[in-house]
Amino acid sequence: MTGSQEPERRAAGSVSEPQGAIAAQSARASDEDLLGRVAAADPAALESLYERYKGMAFALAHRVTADAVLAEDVLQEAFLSVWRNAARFTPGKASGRTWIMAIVHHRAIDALRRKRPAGELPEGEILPPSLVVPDAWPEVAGRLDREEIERALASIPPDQREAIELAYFGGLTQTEIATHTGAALGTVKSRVRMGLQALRAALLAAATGPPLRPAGS
Amino acid sequence: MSAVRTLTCDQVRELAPFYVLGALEPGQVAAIRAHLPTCRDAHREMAELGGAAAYLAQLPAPLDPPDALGQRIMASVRAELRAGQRDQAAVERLVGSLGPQPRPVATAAPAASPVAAIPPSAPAAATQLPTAPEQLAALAATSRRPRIRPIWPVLGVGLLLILGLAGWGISSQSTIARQAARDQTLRSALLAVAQSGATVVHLSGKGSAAGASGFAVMPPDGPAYLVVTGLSTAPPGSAYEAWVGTAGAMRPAGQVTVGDDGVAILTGMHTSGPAIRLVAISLERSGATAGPSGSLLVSGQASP
Repeated sequence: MTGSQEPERRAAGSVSEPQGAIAAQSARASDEDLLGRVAAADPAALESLYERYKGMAFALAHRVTADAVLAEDVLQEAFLSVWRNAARFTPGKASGRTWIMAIVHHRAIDALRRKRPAGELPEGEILPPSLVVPDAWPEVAGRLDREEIERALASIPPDQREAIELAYFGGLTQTEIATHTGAALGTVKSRVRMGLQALRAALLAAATGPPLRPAGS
Repeated sequence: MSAVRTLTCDQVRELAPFYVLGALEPGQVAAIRAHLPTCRDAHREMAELGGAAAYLAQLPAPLDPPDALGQRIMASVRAELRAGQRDQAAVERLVGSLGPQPRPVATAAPAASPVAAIPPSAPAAATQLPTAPEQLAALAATSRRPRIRPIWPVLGVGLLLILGLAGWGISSQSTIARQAARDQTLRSALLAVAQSGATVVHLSGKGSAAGASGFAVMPPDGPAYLVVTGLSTAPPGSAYEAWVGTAGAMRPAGQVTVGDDGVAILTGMHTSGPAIRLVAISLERSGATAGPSGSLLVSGQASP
């Protein structure tokens, strides 16, 4: 599979019965149903989720770590974490996709921080991924494709976009972003907060309104 | 676990954008996680900002990993499943072999002060204490999730401790209260062992503590515990100190006190920092906690 943006609508491939029937059933199942089956220790359900999200997950892990081998390790750890913690997934708090991708992201940031020289490691333990990342707009989730999200991000001021990308993809803390950009800590805090608020508005607009234009155009 | 900082609602709101982006330092993350479940403020900013941040995961162009990766992941999952099924069957056999155990009977009316000192989740009187088979059944129920490490050594120590605590003198209400609290702590420690992703270290004594054994458990969520039986009471002016070893360093993990029942339980063991490779106990002069000054009386290595 190639990491489709509409994984839940994927059609089953042409495989023989009865495996074909099972595969088709898994292909039609929602992420939440599959996570419920994973919680009941069904490996086939995890395999379906992996097939559904491996492209998106590997791309995210690779973007964060910039290392294909490390990204493979991240995916292995992340999907084992999904396998072990699926019982903690609460439908309604977050979509299955958001939950899985949050785990992948946190694992990737962990890997990135461990890779840095010891002097750059933040103090304290590396915590397991946050399992409560609520979806603000479940009615919007799934409607936007990657290009629309790209346009939404491009529509916010460049300094806010840079701060968000350094935090999310670079794993930098607010202090590290301040050092990296030369901006005051308070400025960094404002940029990230305002940037996320602007991104939220742009995503909502993309889901409901006319196409967005990049900032400054 | 290290002490978690307490945050105000304003501080949580200030950190929220970085929290949802996964860009906080671990101590700040722990502080927010401690704040949110107990706060009367809904902290809607987490949902609003978190919803935007979630879409960032879809930005990189999809990239297929090597086919072999999926096969490796599923092989690991199936191995964990098989190991989990073996552990589950072992626990069920153990529970079945114990049979019903008589419950201790309280002989005095509950006294207010000692019972009030028990944590809210602890039973208020001995008549409500779960029996050993019940505790192990509870453990079995939470052990259904697959794990790869063997849990028999820890289960064995846990069973001995439960039976030992059940036989500990129930001569007064305060004793009952203490027993209930310790029993509850031990139960929590055993349930932590059953938690998916928990790191469990089997501890054994040597030298003057050759008969000591126990375990340390560091679950992904909740406090870490250290439970040891067979240690004699520390001589006056000295104390048992727990240590955790990482790559090239030993750090203090808390003071270990042997209870009246002969069991040493350390709740909230300090486990912050890099991956822990060793857990140990040494006898130190009171107040000297920079590092172990003598030999390690009890120790165990974490599995890689």
